[in-house]
Amino acid sequence: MRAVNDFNLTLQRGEVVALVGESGSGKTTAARVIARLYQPTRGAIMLNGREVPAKMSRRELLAFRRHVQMIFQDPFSSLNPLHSVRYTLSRPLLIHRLAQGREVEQRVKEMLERVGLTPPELFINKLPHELSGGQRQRVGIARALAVGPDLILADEPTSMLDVSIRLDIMNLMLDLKDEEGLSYLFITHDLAGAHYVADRIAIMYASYLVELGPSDDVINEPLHPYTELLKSAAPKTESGLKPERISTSYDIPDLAKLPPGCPFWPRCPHAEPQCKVRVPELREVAPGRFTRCLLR
Amino acid sequence: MSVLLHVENLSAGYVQPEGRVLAARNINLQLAEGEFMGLAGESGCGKTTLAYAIAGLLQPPGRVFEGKVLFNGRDLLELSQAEMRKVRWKEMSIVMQASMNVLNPVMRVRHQFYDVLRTHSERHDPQYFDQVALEMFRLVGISPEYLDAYPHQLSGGMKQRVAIAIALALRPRLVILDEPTTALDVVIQRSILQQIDSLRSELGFSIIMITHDLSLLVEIADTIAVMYAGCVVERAPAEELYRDPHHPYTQGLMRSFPPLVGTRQRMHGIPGQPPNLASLPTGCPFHPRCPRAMPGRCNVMTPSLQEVKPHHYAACLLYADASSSAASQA
Repeated sequence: MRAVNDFNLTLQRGEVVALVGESGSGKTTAARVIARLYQPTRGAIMLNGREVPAKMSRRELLAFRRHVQMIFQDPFSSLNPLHSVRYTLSRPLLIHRLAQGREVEQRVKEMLERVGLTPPELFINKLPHELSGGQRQRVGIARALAVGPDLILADEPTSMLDVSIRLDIMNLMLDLKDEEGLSYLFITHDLAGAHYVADRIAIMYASYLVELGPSDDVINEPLHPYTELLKSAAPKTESGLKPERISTSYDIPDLAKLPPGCPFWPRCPHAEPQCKVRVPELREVAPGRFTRCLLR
Repeated sequence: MSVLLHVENLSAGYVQPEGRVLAARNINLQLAEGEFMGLAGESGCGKTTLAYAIAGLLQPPGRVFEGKVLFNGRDLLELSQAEMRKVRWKEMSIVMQASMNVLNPVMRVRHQFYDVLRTHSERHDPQYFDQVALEMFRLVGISPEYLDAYPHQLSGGMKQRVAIAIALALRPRLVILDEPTTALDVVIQRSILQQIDSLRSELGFSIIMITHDLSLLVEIADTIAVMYAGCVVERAPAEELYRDPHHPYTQGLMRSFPPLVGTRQRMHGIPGQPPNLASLPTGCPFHPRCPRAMPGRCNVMTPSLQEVKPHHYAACLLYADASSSAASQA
């Protein structure tokens, strides 16, 4: 059973790409393969023009982690509950030999300030349970930044946070991107959040990339029927209180039992006989705009 | 419209070694027959404590300290366990957060219906139970074959719908939903909410839906009450709240949702974080985060809910009369 099929994506330096999909779409698996937490069955990952080998030695893996870091969804389980903030943030510096001695303390304080946990003295000795969800997520971001990575994979970094602090966390990530020249792969099921944060949006459905393009274009003029469905299902306070009724069968596809042809055809209002034959190719139908749909 | 539920001066919370922690303070709410009320608030605002207090489900160290829960004129807090059992499920039911985890994993779905119906209805015959279960499955849109499934064989969305089906089985007058769609994806979320709303039209029950996602409520609720630090800080018809929020916290929350369409621009949430219920600031609990806090007033006096427009209430000193007797010294 494949969680990810035919995944092709190029990320530019300083770019944010949002990977949007529901659970079971394969987006988290895709991210973890890129982060080398899982091994891919097939295919290649190129970083800065060089291929990242499927099997890496400990040294190679360590070097890789200097370039690619992850931020996780759950601020409550992604920090070791027994480690103080100081310890959590010192570790990457020490492991990667980026600082030593008194410099470490100084760097940790700088990192705390960068992510808005000021004054750093107030936070540096705290244990995770003494911090709020938003504060813990900031520590997670600081930890990812510690090694000066090129790419951060953020797996639903705000979905478990209260609504009123999500924007500030997203803004922090955007500011850090500008200051550090970072790239982000931002994984989410929240289309509005993706639109806010990303330069480009990639939509995944049942293990396939089904649409890819500039953020504004994908939202304002979706090319794939699944994108249209996501758009109509998203809460829209600005819709003027005319709630949209969506009509589709409810359940997400079982990846172990995908029907032949386009994985979306059972739910697609525009499905035609040709859609059931084979999985369409992801094609560029306009400059920079890709879709996996026979109707375009 | 007759009043189905009247929560009067309800205060509830937890008894800790250090003392009482009030999670719901002096709550006053009225719900009419067939009304859909949304209770919006973020973590730690007391909304779940309130829901459990209304449903009579608060367990020690949780307790109701003061107030009444008048349901059809009877104070539920005065009822015995046996009497409360007759109310529960038959007249008032609750779908708890992540209900999918509340279904018994070693019992087939059909038997979970039997369990509820045997305990809370007057009937004992399995034919009746099957009839009810089939009818409820039809209403929530699940194929009858899943009656004999175990919970782990169902997707998250289906489990949630089963929980809703069980909550509606005895046709209660009031259904309390605590974050009914939080763990679910947007498409399933919208389907389930649509379903709940059409069931409400068909069966005529009232709903209290608790969620931190105000944007959902704006689309489907009749009335919205916004909670912060254990108090209702604003209450109005949904459309009115959306168009003309008065309380700075509500205004901040409304601004926290990036719009789906249109051009992208920088937005800001609310700085800081919700207070610890065990150590609230003096005066208005929101003042440390409030862009319109008035020094010398907001940190000293605790505002209470006042009518600022017809049917629109806000607890904020910005709207209190200068010589108000409603605002009290902290």
